[in-house]
Amino acid sequence: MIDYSIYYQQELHPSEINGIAHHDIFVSAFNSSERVRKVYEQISADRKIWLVHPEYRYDADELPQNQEMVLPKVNNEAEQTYDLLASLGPLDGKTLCIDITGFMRHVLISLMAGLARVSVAQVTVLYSEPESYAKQEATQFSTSTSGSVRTILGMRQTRDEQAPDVLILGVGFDDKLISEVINHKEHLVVYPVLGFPSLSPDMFQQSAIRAARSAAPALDEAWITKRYFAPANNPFATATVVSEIVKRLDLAGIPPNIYLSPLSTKVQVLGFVLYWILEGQYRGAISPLLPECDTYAQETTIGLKRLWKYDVELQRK
Amino acid sequence: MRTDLESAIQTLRRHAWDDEIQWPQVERWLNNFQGEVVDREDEQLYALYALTRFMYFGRSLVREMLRSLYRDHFEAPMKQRLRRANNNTRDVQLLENLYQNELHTTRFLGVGNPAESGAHLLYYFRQENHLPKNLFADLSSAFEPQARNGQTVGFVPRDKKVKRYVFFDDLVGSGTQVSQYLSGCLPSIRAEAPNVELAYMCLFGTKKGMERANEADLFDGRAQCLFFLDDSYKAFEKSSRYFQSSPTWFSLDIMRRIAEHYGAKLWANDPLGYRDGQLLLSFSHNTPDNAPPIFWDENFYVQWAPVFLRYSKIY
Repeated sequence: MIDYSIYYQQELHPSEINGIAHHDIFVSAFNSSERVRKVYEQISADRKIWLVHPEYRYDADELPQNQEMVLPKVNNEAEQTYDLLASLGPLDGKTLCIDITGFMRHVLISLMAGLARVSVAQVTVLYSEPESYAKQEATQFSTSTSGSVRTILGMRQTRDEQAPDVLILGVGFDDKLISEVINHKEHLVVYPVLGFPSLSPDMFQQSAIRAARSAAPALDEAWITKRYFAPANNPFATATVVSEIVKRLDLAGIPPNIYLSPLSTKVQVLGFVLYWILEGQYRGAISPLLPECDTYAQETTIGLKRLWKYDVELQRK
Repeated sequence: MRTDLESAIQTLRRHAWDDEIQWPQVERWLNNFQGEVVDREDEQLYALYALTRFMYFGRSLVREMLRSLYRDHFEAPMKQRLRRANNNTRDVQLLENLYQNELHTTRFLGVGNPAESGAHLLYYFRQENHLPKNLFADLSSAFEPQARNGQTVGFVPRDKKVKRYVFFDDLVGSGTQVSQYLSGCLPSIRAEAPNVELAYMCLFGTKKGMERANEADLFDGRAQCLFFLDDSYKAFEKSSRYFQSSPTWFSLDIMRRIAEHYGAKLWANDPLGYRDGQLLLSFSHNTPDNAPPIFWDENFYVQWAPVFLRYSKIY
């Protein structure tokens, strides 16, 4: 059994960024959020690397000058992860710190699984919380999707044809993405995981309004009766909740095929993938699943409220 | 416009407020606004809009907060401390045993007497987190008053094996209540038993309240809350987060005038809530008086239908 509560996490004031221990390599996904830039500038590391997701669609003249960058050409998460890992070089004996704030969800999932696969034991993960979302419940995140919903490359597990299909859905603000995922397959039993406690107390209601817009009428009841909660800023508690849901499902009858679709905060995405790395992949028939994003808004938030530091341990022993 | 707001409130009722607020209740409340500040229709539009911004936490969310407070703010940090003290071990069983020892030398206490909301919530806190009854106490069962010349001069822990006392409350608003109850006895407990840890956990804490709770005569930096309410949670100030992305017809000045005008009829000295609280916040078990009275007051002298009930306490 994994006890996720023993993993270290620390809450930091924005003024404490430069007090974070020095790392050999720091990686952050470039975007226009003030909080992402601030962490990049103040963190102490030998190498600081911007991963520039093509989904943000930055023009060359909008990118930083004289800073190390990885510029994948395609949206595909496997290639973005490959490009990044290739540029990092051998990681043996090196300390790695990743700010996941600006990461695209599919690349974050793929990268964490990739690091686990190449036997990285531990990585320091940072996440900066916004003061608020720019337009509260009207905030737009994914500006366009391809319409295709698919499992993350390299992480799909064999499906049992006789077993039911279950979707564990991390509910965030992005109602369009939620709608695409829950409607992409018939007879999908949905277990929504709502981000609560939310990053701030007003955000729960904002996300509830957004999520309600995406739910098909048939799902209305499930939205209330099958829901779970996991804190929006705690990957370890999120992994615990996902693990509990899967255990309950397995005890209740034929172990279902499970799709993990974290459409909530990046911290919850980390929690979902951590569960997959440490437990899910060994159970089998559990696959991370997301809608394909073509372009993504470059800035959706205001301010930097606080910073979280998580020591993510990627190996079971 | 009105239809959109009504539909947003219906969504909130169903998806965030767990159907605990009934629609006729909302309609009766809207009828309080009869055009004494601006047109009746406009006043009701402002009232509806304010309601879409209001944070109401129903039974299931309150229970979830209690679970998170224990799991994420007590158990997990304690296990991480124990792990650090044991050479970063990953021996889950060892850490669990050490944690159980710490837990059983902890007592959880409500702030105020057993009939107050903090103490009342401890029952659900215990239920949600599967905790044994003997971990809970009240002030008089945990501490023995020390008297000199017939006057209480200090408090001493009754059970010498207890290492920490965690005081619990739902909300620290102005900080008056926690200060009234505990500023007299915590320094004397500290003086009598300097190794005992005195901590405080609450669901919501305002900036002012948390600052007071963390002062040296109270919890001396060991007070924490699940949700921190900074000054942007003062609804009618310029920095208010509630009305940050309001529609073009909305004016914060008119909103404030409406709340103040009707609020003054209900509670002349504090028309926007106790000590100018301005919090748009309510729970299933009660509405704090730090919220503007227009939302909760059921006044004897003025006819007023509240939307979120407040069960006033007689002190």
